[in-house]
Amino acid sequence: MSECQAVREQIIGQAGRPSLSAELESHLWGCPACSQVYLEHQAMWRAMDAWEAPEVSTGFDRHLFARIGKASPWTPLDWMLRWFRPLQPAFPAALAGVMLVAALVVQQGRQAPPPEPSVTMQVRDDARQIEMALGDIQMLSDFEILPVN
Amino acid sequence: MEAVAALEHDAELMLRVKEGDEASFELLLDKYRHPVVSYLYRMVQQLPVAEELAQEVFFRVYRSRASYEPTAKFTTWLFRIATHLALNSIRDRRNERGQESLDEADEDRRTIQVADRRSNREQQMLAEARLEEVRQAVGALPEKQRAAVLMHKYQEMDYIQIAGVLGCSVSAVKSLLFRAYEVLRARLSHLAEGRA
Repeated sequence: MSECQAVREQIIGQAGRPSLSAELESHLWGCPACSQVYLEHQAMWRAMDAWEAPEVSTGFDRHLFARIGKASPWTPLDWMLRWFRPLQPAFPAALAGVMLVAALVVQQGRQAPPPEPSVTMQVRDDARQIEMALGDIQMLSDFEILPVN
Repeated sequence: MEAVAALEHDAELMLRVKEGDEASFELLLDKYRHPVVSYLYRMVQQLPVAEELAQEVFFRVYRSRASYEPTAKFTTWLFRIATHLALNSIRDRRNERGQESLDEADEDRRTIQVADRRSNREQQMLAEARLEEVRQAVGALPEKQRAAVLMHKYQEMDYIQIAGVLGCSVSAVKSLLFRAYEVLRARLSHLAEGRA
């Protein structure tokens, strides 16, 4: 970058403020082109200084607060964030704990023995066992192992 | 150091707003009401529109208090919201008005030239015409250049802060400002000659 280019960037960076660095001032003394640019920038900034913004309307705050008042002052999300804020550092650990417990419960559920058969089934099985036992007794008596009354 | 203290103070106020302290919001509003309205007024050049946009800026600040984190300067955040709204408003109005606005601008410039010739007789008219010329020169800049110039010249923001607001690099801001000021210098430097 040429020295003049750097000086012009400095002039812009200065934005019309009065203080000039010694280096900049020295360059302006020796460089008519940059000196002209500097004077034109000063004129431009003086013209821009005359552009003042108008006063803000007196009802500005009233309208704003009316609008804020219409919106819910604290949404449920805000309250939730406020309540949980103190827990925020521990939240991931707590969540991991909850998930671990849930996983264990699910796993145990899978390994649990099958449910007890219903009463009807049990009665049906008892009858079959009695029939089998009577059959066995009959068979043993046929082989004369058991005395038959 | 003062700037750092101001940053901490504004961020601290905003954190209090986050905690539910409405008075801190009023302090921030008191401090930034005029800078935000002024900036928006120079951006859109209509006071009612500027005030409407400023209302939206502060409303958004209030609405997003719960999620506020002081990761950037408060003013950077504030002016980022303001700039976003101003750019959208300018684009919306340009789409609505179309070519009509360009014709009006040309007409205005001709009026100013006439007013300027009468300036020796009427100082008030001259001042108003000069002011109008400044407004038009700034208003004719591309939106991002305009925003950068207004933040730099009137809000006295540094390059880093402007870059934060516009979401670009510092070198891009320097480039924007350099081009914008070159245009403004060409259009406005003659205005101060009469004053010297």
